Amino acid sequence: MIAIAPAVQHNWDWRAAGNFVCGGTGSGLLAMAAGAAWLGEPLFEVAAIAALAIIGLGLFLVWLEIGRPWRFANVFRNPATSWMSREAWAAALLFPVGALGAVTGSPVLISIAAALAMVFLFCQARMLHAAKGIPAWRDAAVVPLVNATGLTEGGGLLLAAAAMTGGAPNWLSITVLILVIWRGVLMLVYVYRLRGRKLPIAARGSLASMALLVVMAGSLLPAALLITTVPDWAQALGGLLAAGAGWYFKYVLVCRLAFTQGFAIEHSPTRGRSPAGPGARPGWAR
Amino acid sequence: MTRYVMVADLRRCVGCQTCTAACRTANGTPPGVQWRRVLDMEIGTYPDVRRTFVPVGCMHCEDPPCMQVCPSTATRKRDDGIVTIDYDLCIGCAYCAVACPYQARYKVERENYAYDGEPMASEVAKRDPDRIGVSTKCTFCVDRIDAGIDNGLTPGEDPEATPVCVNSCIAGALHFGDVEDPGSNVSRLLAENHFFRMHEELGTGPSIYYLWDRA
Repeated sequence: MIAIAPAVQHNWDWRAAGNFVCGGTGSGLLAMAAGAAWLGEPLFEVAAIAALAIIGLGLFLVWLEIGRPWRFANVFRNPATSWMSREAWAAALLFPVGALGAVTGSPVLISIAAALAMVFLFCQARMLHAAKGIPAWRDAAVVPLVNATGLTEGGGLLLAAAAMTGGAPNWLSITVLILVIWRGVLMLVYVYRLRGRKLPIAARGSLASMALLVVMAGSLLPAALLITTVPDWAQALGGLLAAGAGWYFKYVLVCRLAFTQGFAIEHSPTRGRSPAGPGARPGWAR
Repeated sequence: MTRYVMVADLRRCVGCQTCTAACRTANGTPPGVQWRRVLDMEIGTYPDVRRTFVPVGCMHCEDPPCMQVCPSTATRKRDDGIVTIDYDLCIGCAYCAVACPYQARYKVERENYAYDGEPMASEVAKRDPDRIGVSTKCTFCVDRIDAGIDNGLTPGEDPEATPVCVNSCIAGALHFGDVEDPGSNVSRLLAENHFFRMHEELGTGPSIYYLWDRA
């Protein structure tokens, strides 16, 4: 029996979600490392190396998913229209520049790598937006949300690491505070845009529960923890919540919220003496 | 300029799935892969219920989202509108599959057969390792079209140059031809009948037209 109503896609699984999780976290972390480099914070090189490793892990996960892994170099062939190709090119430039910056300790090179990481992150967001077959991805609100989430994940992770290893600097706490609030607002915008007829009925439950958790545990709670002067453990918890909520969002977005378009007809046909009738769009609200 | 399209007359389709079987036989698709499918849609509530059979597959869109997203350039659109996949270039990322709003693309990770274990003789004959781990979909039987044209035949009129699903249709519901030719069978059908295209609002410009009433 062929499913007519929208159903969760199975072409991309947790490995693809892992690429979005690691790509966002690594890119965000690299952006924070660039900030740390200019402010003369210690160990920014370590953060940059960790960021590259995380991005690399994500790409490795997606490499495990493709059907012909030894043809991976073909991914570079279509930067003219494919955001996946552009993502690959951004990664190809990002790794040598980032590694050189980390080895030499050059804030300029780290900053260039961070800019490339932002391009990489933007490409990931546009990849989802370009997937016309998945209503939860193709909405334009997914682009700023995925970008903000990536920055929040990276900032949250660095904040947690800094808080657990001797205290987080104020600028980082404030940056993450701003990011969690921004991400929360963008999540609400995303949910608002997908109301009504823009999402299959079956996907609504997953969207509502995910958004509630991300806003509550990923924005409000970390904001409450970071808005006052708090001990290091609370800063670390706030950072981990900010990052973890982003990881959860990406997993749900790829693996649970990714319902297909389904099938629809605008009219049912005339049949013998029976006149034409209304169409149908199974799985969607009228 | 030529642009090949398919016309499905919903008034005529009886849901026999002969087109599905013909496609699977001609193209040797493995279990679970149906490049041509016929949906069985029930519309309404008792006692006012209708049943409509809807042939679907790759829509060979005018602006194919699968081609735009393909990172390897494996998916291309020919000048005659047929969207093709180069199995030697495809990396099997399945980005095209999530970009397609018609669920027309398939990726098979390993060879499998209709009956567990050994393949049947027909499966051996149609075996194509190039299709493992890559995206596949309806080709509008492009090999038949090209061979037919080379032999001076007209796709949509001469069966040897026409997709097998169209040839096999027992009800005369499926038609194929050049929509840019005002004298073609499909142009005539579209002029004489009301039609729609699926998910028109997405802007893909699908090349399967559904007839639902006389104009």
